Amino acid sequence: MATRSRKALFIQYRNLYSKNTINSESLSVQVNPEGIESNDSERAGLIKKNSPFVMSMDNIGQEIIPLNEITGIPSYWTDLVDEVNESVEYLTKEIQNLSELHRKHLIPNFENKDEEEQLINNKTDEITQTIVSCQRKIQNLGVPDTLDSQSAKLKKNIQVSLATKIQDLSQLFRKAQSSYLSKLRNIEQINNSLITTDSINPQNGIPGFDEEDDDELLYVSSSQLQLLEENSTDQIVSAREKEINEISKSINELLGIFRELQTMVIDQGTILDRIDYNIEQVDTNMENATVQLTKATKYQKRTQKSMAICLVILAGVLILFIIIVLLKVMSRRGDKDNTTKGNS
Amino acid sequence: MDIVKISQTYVQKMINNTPGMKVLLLDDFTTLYISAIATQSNLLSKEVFLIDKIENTSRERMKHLKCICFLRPSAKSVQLMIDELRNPNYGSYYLYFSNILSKSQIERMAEADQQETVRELQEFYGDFCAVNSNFYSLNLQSYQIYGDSLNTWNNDTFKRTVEGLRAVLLALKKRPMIRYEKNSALGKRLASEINYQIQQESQLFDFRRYDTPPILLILDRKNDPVTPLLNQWTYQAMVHELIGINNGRVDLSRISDIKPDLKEIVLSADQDIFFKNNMYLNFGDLGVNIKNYVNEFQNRHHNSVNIESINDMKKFVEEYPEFKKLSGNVSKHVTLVSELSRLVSKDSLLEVSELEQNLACVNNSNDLKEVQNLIKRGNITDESKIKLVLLYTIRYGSQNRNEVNALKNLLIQNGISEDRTKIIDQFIRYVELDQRQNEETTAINTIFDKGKNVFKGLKGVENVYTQHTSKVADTIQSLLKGKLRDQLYPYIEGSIRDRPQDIIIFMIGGATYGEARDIAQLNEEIPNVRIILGGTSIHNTQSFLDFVKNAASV
Repeated sequence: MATRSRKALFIQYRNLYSKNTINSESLSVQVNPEGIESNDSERAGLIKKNSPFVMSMDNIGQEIIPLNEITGIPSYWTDLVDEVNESVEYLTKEIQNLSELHRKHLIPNFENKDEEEQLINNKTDEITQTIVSCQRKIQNLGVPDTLDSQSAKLKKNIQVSLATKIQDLSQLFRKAQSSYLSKLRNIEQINNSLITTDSINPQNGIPGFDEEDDDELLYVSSSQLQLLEENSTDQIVSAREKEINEISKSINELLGIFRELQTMVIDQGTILDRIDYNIEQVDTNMENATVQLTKATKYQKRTQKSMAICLVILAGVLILFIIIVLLKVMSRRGDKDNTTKGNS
Repeated sequence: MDIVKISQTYVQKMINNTPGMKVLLLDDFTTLYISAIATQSNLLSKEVFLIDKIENTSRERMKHLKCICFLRPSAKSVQLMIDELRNPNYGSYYLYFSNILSKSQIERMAEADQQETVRELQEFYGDFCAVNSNFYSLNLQSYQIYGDSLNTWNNDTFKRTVEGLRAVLLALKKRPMIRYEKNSALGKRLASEINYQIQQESQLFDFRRYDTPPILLILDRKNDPVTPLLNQWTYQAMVHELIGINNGRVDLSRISDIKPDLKEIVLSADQDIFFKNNMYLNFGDLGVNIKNYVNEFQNRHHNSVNIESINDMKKFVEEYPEFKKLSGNVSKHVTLVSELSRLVSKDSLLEVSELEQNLACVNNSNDLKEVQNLIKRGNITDESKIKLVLLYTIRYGSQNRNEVNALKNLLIQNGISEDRTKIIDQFIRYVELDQRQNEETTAINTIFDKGKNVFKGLKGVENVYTQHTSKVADTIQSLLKGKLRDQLYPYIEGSIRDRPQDIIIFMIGGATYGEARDIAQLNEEIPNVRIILGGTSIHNTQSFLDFVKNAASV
């Protein structure tokens, strides 16, 4: 994987040539009829001097693009790409955080879980909202249907690229969500089965308690214990139910986004994802465009021709009409003459 | 030494070096190179939002974009670059050339860059098509190789070949010892030119020295004209033989009532895991695997059809992109394999292949009779018949009593035009059959290795259709055993006794996918050895016969 940079040599040559042009400029200044070197030409000479500082200044100067040079694509596209990229970065981080929270939350301990749950819910909402807003932005880009111009093609490609990124993230998010969901369900099932076995054989004790603790438990009657357990499990079950519903909702919301984005992304592994194929398509689009154009001009010419023919025919008809009218007038005049002659 | 990875790294490097929204300009050559190893979505994800040819004059001015140019330093491309720099369409330029630039080319571009838009100029030596991880091609199928005679190069092609092979060595970072086949004038010329180039650019070729230097082995297609004539039975080779692979693309539009999205398909080991696992397998094993693949798909499909609970639905949607990808891939391979099997049965290719293999591997007294029989049959294509006669010619043509002329007449009697049978004489000229007759004592001149056949006969044949191993595989094996004689495969400079670790093969006149498969197998079987094969182009029988016809026209 050898590489070789020829930049140094290139810049050396470039400076050589730009110096040459400056020399000729200063020569032309010298033969100025006034014989005075203007301040402007002096400054120009300084700026072009080959010092690294001036070089970098030059570069900075060139990054500023004159507004009138931006054609075809409005600057909000550039902003949008930046925006979505930022969101992508944010989402990647947050999804990671969320999975971490999920993991923590699923570890059984006796701490209060409400705060954690709240945090998870908030985070899930945030992520979902960000994905939705990204998707809206991408969808409302207003990409033209025909890809005959380069800027249209560029817009389309930007849209595809952003859609793919968001699609990948939403998939990641959904995977995290549903694995969390299934784990929650599992815990619920385990709990349920524990409860049923416990209520049938309360004398077996609660798993997790040592033999020594059994003595203390004896002070509590089995029916009391049962009552206590049922109350607490009821609460747990309803909380879990709520949680599960919450997640299902967010998954369903993402589903819609996913469907809409799917129409935009490229099917990987197919001919549509080949670089040469896409370039060829542009070419054929161009060819088609030129074919259409020549056709159009042909039609235009033809219509021009037929228009000319029409005009000629119209003129003919008109002339004929005039002649007829004239003839009629003449003959009437003749009649009149005759009648007047007859009358006289 | 994975040549695909190396090419990909080049592309990634030039794109990652330039953050922000960018356009990528290519020329005809680099379009092919880059298409073989990268995809549209791949580049889109790196914010390459526009890919176009530099020769497209109707490009719009987009000053807010950065422009990466990946070009071959051909006169045409450099001129187009100069025109572009005189009147820049984009904000800044990052130039990458796929081969060594001359100083005058750099000077001319620098002169044109009055607006100082160029930010980077580098040489990235990806001047070849990376086909498989150990197979490259210079893509010179439309070039005439020969100059005034079969012993001289066409000057343009020679220059192009030297540049291409030099780029391969630079990309692999190898400064090799060079060996060539003694009877190949073209091989000798190429070997000494490459050696000269390495010395000329000694700074560039100043790589870390290894105890055992790598070997560049330059071979000539004329010394193994058999391999490209045989029917192939491994997946990739078979597709190229029967349908044709054009830089990873396969045109299936000739299949009647084919779905529109399968009219043209892509075969890439890099993007298609099924193809990667099966490209070197023979047709029988492939059939088994494709059945499993379909079953796997059906299971998933079944699961997805039986969506009963919300859970199922979620699971389905989650797996949907993979499912869609899988379904696309399954139908692609099923279509391809069923077309292959249709062609095999339609043209009785199994029978033809069996006889081909017999002709290629063992002397057999009733060869002639069987060739005659098949020529008389109707359900065998004319191409197959001509191929059989050619194989017969190679095996028996140098003997005093042979029936080549009789077979030619038989071809004509069976409705093959006299014009098409000319290929037999052209072929005899190309492989220099008359010269081989006189020097049959030297092993290199015999196309068939006799000792090996005896050994094979004892071992018994596992599969009649794949008895023949390509000569290049045999040559590499003797090279590794240290049995490749210096008199027949001389060094251009110096010599070594040690067993080489890295071997780069270059086949003048084109390599085949079958050979690539043999080399891949050697890479797998022999530890501590890395072999890479390449050539001026990639042949199937059709393209090889066109090449011979072209060669004979000089």
